Amino acid sequence: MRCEDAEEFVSGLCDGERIPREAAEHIGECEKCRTWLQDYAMLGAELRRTASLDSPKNVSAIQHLLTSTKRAKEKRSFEVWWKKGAEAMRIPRFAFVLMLLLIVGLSSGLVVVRARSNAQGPVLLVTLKLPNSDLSWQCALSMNGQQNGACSGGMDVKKRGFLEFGIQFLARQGDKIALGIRRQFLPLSPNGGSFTFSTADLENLPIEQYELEPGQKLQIDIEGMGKAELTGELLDHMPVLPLAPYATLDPAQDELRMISPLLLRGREAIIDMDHGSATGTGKDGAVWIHAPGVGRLIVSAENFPGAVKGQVSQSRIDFEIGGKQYQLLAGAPITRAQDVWVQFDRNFQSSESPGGAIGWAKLDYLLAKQATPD
Amino acid sequence: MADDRELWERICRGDISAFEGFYRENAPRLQAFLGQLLSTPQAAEDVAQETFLQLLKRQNGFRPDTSLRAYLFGIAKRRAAEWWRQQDPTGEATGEGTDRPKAETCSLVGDAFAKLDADQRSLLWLREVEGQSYADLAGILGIPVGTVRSRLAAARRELRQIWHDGQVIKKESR
Repeated sequence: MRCEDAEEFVSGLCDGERIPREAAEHIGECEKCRTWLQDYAMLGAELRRTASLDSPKNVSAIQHLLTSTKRAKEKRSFEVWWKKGAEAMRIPRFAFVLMLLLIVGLSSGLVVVRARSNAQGPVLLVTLKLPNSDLSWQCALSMNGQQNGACSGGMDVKKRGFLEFGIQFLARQGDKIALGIRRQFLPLSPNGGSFTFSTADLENLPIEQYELEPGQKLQIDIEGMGKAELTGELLDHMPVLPLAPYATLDPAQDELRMISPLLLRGREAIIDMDHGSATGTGKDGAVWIHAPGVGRLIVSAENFPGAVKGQVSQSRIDFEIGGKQYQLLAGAPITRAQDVWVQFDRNFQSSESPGGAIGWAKLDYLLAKQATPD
Repeated sequence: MADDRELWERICRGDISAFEGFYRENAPRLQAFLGQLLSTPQAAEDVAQETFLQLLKRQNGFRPDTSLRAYLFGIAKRRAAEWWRQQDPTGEATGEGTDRPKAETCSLVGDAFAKLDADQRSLLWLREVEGQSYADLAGILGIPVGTVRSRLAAARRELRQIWHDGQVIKKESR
């Protein structure tokens, strides 16, 4: 028997297979085949060894998620962001178990559901009204598939603190909609200060499951803040302005608003934040867009070091960097100002938003982060 | 198989503890397997979750003559292929065959394994790490048992060759 013919049997031996006598005799006498056998056994063992090392998602990790605790972090400034739709919020494995259990429950008839004729829209517009405040937050969740099924954000609750909030569509049965909600209120310390908010903050929070029926009010207890009121309304489409579906197209005074921006360099699209949006008000703030591997773009109404002037035309900003023409296109008018200041840092790196992110932040906070990429 | 059938029946009846036990036992392994096929840990996590969802949604998809774990990994393999197709809607040959996942280990074997094509990676992983039988591998991959045998031999030969070449290069560079 030739070694080439015996090779498949060498592989079979590694798997505990019985092999023909002729092949067994050849392998017993052939140094080359025996070397193969030893190598295959060693490679298999090494694969299992490295698999054991590379198994961070083991049960103990799940247990860790089960007991994940809230983290309150007070930092130099605050960001408001709205992560790209498809990646907006990730659910820990335990939460996912709960979601699946809900589905099991529903499919096994444990939940009695009433059907209502008007519960047809594929989009749920969620409004969160904060307690003791005139602030509210809106988000449109698609219930059709994976795209835009979640959104999250941070809200600066004036003089009180900062609210981190994330909501995700989990399942729908008739007019009952299961939502996964994470939230955390970070009260302002007596010494003042401000906050930062990133994807990681929210992902480390426990997720709770709520059941919402459109038209009804749901009480969401927010520790340190009180009971917020959550309502839902079914829409037959994704609203044009996902940040505030009933807002006017006209930006407010000193508002910078970026809806689903697309950055072109010449004719090449280099950043596409489809369904990612951010807004903020205040001359000391700026919108930022981070695309891993591409860089970070900062747009501010105020001049700042390293920025170039950009010309605003409704939902478009034109600027030039290094002799190259850039156009930033958005889904709605960006600002009332005619000029803005733009910086594009191609070397910027951050582990906070590995999938890319967009947000609004204080300019001094953004510039401080610029020099120390993590 | 009888245990799997009983477990499956309990899950289908909505037995929460049965599903939770199955999930806890298999989710980390499934995610590790998908980590070898997909480009990022996040993608592996997402597809693992989708796999469990699909398992529950298609309750008549499981054949009691196979193992429940093999059924789960078979779904995962197909979901991973779908994931790659979604990354490249033009259908061009990027992704599954050419975009290899980044090796998470610094070992030469890990590097060599990452250079195998996706089919070979999944086959070797399921056999060597998951210990799936030839019959279960045939079910997962939708190929005859004889083909499982020959493909495993080819995958081992390829892995050994890449690993061996890597050792030679490393020695030469010293």
